[in-house]
Amino acid sequence: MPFGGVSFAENPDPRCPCVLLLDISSSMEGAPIAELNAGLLTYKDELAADSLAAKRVEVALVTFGGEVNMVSDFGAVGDFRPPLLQATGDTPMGAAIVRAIDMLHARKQLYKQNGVQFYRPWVFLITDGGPTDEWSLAAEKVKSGEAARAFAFFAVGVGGANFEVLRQISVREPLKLDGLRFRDLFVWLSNSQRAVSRSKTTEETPLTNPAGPDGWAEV
Amino acid sequence: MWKLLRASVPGSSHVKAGTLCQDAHAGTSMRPHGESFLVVACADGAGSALRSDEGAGAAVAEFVKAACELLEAEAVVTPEIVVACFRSARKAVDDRAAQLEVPKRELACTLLGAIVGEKQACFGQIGDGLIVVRENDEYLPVFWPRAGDYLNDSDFLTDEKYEETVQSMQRAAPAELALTTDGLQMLMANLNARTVHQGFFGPMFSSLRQTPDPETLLAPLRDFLESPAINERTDDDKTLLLAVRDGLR
Repeated sequence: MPFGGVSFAENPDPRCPCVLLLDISSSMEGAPIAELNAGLLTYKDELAADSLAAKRVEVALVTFGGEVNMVSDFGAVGDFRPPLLQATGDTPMGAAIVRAIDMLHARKQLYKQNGVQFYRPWVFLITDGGPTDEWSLAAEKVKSGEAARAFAFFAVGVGGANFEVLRQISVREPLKLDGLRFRDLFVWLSNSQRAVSRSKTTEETPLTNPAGPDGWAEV
Repeated sequence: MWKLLRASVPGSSHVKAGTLCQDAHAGTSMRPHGESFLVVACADGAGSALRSDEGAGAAVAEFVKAACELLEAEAVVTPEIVVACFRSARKAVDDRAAQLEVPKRELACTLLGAIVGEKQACFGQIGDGLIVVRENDEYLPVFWPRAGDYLNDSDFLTDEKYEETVQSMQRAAPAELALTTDGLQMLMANLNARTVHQGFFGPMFSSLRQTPDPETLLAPLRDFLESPAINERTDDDKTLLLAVRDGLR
């Protein structure tokens, strides 16, 4: 074996951070929260089944319903335990968005300190309503973060979500979930993150259109 | 002259998806006006670009062709000739895009090139990948890939302002050098310390130095690049080009 003696450099796997920002306000009561919980389980299973993505994707979960709550901080997919979310309270979306962006910032600092390479982070917001708190600061932070390519912010509206406000917060066009197809949404999300986590030289990983024929989004 | 060994193999994810290998390489040695020269290049086509295999292929072929023409005209090594070769390579990619009737971003690729004379050498790089030279008994990177914030941010030869992001330099001619695309980067460099992993290159060059016929190493090199040990660590396309000045022990 001419190259039998070759050894490899040891580097930490690059990370692909994502904050799930989930609305669990009281209007999610019943089928919506049940479908959301089922979707989260699917999401975890899909990512965990992909060995490379499981090592690279780091998920954090923040909920907003009555209060903003960091349910789990960034960690490996294997350590992510999808909780059983329960619907409660109003919709402090503005504060939740600010919290998510602060968490991402701290995480990126940690990566940099430790020489870990990383992909552009994602914030993935899912809501069935609109903010009941002040959201102008959140909108400003999303705009400046997108402009600086600090993260990509995606908003998904369910049922009677306030798209007018979502459009003012999200630079990208908010997507409308088709019915309660949370599970399809999370399969799409895990597939997209799997694609990103193995991309190396692509400037933007092309995502499949969630509003396509088999997609979970309504056109 | 030079012993040259080079191969590209498609990444396991590309094999699975049925896409082409989007890496390309080219190289030759020549002796214009009595001085020996080595001209080598490799390129990595962007995964998100539809015809980046065409872009990478056109870029490396034109880099080598342009360098040979310049050396035939005047056998001197300067940083300017490497920049001129990048300009020619870019034009070749633009022309190929026009022929294929696709936007040039669909041919997006990186490009790494080296022109090595007997005393002086010049190097150029845009985007990820590594050029490694032996200096005394150590393997050193010529450039460190320009750091974007994110792993999936890369510079490409097809960028509008590529001339601002091409790195180029002149240095003493090495007796051993390697060019590689970013598929192997994590395995051959310590990214945090920004150093080259000596244990990767030492045995590689030792094999090439000792063989009387580099052709015999081609199949073992391809096997190595497709080995499970490597595919466990990367599923990207992989290119490795090694050159050793002949007669050196």
